[in-house]
Amino acid sequence: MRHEMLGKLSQQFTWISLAAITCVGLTLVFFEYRQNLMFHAVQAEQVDSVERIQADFIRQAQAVANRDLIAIQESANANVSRLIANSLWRDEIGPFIEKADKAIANSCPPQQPRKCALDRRMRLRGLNAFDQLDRKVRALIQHSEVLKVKVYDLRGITVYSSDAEQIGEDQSGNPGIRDALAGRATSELEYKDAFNTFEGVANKVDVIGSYLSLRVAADERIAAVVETYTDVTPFVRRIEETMAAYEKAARANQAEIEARGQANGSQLFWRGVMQAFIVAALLAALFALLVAVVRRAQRIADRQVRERDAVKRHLAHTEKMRSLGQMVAGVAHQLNTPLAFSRSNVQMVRASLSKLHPLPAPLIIASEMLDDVMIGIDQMNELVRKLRDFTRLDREPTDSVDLREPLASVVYIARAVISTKIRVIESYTELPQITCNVSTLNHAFLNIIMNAAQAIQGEGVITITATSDSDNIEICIRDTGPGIPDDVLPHIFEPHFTTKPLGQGTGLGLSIAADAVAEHGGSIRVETYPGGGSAFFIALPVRPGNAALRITA
Amino acid sequence: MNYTGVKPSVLCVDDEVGVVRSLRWLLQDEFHVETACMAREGLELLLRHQFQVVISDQRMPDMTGTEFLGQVRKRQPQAMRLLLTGYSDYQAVLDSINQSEAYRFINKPWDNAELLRIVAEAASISLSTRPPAMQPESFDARESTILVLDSDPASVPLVKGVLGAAFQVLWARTVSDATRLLSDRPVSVIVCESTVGGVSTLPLINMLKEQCPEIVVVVHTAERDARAVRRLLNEGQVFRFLTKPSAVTQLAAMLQLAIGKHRELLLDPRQQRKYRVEALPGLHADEGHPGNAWQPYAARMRQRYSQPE
Repeated sequence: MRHEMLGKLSQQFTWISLAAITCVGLTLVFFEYRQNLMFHAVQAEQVDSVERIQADFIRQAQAVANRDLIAIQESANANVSRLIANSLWRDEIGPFIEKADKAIANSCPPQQPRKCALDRRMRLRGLNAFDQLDRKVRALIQHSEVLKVKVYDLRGITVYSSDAEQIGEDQSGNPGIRDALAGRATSELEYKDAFNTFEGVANKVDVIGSYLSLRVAADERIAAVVETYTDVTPFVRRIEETMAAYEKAARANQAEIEARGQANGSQLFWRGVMQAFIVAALLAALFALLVAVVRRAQRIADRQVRERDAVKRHLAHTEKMRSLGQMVAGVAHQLNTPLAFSRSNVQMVRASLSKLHPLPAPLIIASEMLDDVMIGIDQMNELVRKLRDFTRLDREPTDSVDLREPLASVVYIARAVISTKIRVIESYTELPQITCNVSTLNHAFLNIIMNAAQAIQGEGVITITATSDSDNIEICIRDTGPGIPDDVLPHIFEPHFTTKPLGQGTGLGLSIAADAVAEHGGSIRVETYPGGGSAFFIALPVRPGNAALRITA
Repeated sequence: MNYTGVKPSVLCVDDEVGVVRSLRWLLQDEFHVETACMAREGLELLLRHQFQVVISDQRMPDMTGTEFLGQVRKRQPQAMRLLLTGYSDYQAVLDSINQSEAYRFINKPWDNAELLRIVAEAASISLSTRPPAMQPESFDARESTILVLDSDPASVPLVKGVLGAAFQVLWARTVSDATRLLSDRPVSVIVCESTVGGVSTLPLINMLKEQCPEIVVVVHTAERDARAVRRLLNEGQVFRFLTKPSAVTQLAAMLQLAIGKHRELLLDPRQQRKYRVEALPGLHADEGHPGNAWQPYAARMRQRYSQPE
């Protein structure tokens, strides 16, 4: 594809569409990228929300479990305190509280709370009933999960505790005690690093402490508050284990979701890449197709322009030829008149001279001169006649002729212009009549003969033969020139192709001859021989057949 | 050539002085020659002299040869009209036949001996024939048969349509058919093509003019070749020439003229000499020539058409 053929149209189109397609491509890529981002955001959001949900769930589960544990344990603690109350109230707790009530003051002066509390403790521990109560309580709760029991009187003072240090404290401000005094039981789950229990110090235990109202059986009035601590470490561990398991599962879920998300993400990415490739390939194919179409259009346009130019040039040439022909015919016609009376006069003079017997000496030469003049005039006549025959301007364009006659005219005219060193030999057999545009064929024959003459440098022979069979007339024009080189041979009938230097020759002669032959449905071929010499073979069908005979006026 | 002491008069008109002088020198021994270089001058000379032969060039500045000869025909119908032609176009040649009823076309350059012969012949005819009689007022339809020689069948209804039912119209699509018809019955006018079935009708026309010169030939053809038309006149003395397609009025006018001319020739056989033709060379010498096939027909026709001299 030669670049000079590309033309402006093709180039413009190539650049514009390349830019457009690139824009489209980039836009698509951009959208794809955004979509990818969005997917990832959504994915992350989902993963986050699952994580949150799972964490929430676990938290809730844990809270519920703890709540349940507390509730259950509270109930258990309530049972324990009930049991303690049932068994110890009448004989131990009730009386003790009475005594305790009398033994210690209602409130402590604010300046020395500790001293006051200490004082209370001393007093309470000093009570007889204390030891007995203590022994009974210990006996009841030993080897059980209950870690501590405390009893508060209605003033909120710790009157009894399994942890001796706490006895006498004023816990009236404690909300749990206040609630219990009001009849509401409350419980709390706590973790204790070190906890004083009945049997020593317990380390790192989870305990549930419940404040319970102690009601006297008969009228259900609240007599005291019992605080009970139970070791729930195993339960808490269990809950924690369960939570751990949940968390593990949750983490596994999370991981799975994340993995799936990743997998989806990467699948989406590769899908996107593949789509991008496909789209890119399609766009490239589209581009290539369009470029091909435009190039083809450009080529067609170029070819049409070339053809139009060729037709214009051809027409111009034909027009020139025709007007030249008319001029030639006009000149020939003009020559007829002076030729006529010159001939007539010379004839008469010769007739007069012939009447002289003897012919005087000076007139002998004159007579011979007149003989030569007559020959000259006849030559001129012949040439004029042949020129008129060649142009055939007074004849119909299409005529049925024996081609020997036009060939003779053409050869006659050619002989007049060809160098005398070149011999022209004619050899015709009998030819059938053929209907044709005679002046067009004359022109063709003359062009080929002149071409042959120009090929011959110096001396040479041009042989023109005409033969026929039932279907075709074949005319052969052979010359003894140097022959046609191989690189020239395929182009020889192309218009404007010439091996002559610039300015000499139009290169149209042989192409016009080829056109003329084609108009008649004939064929023209050329053979060239390595030793030298070329031969043009023109075959013309005797019956035009389907070939449309175009009459060029 | 039998001159009664007075040389026949010839008028030569050509815008080229050399031609006119040469013609004068050629003809002045045997003829009384007047010359003019302009058609106008020629017309003035016509007013002053009677001429037997008028020779005119075709291309002249003020008037064409055919126009001039047309004028000559009107003013001095007894003068034989010769047209000098170089290369002429088709229309001019046609007009020469139709408008001026030229006797011959003479090509430039001419042969002196040939030209002398033609002029002498023309002068002789002119002298020996009276001016044509007045055209008869009415046509006797019974005596007028028209032969149409054309391979196109549409030509017959065309002619019939123009002439009307009173005239008998025969049709021949080949030359041999025409020959047979002509030998069977009398024909006044022939309307024919220049070529029928690939064969030229010129030999037939030529033979007819030789044998039966009272038959008037009108050529109605699509042929556009000037040379062929010149030959039709010189060798066939075609009376009128019409190109196809023709207007019906034109065809009607020509046919009426042709029929009138035929009547005239019948009435005055010596007029027939004006329509003598050049015999086609080699026509009778060549055994195989189609012309020779007509000998028996020609003989019969001669019998049929023979008129007392």
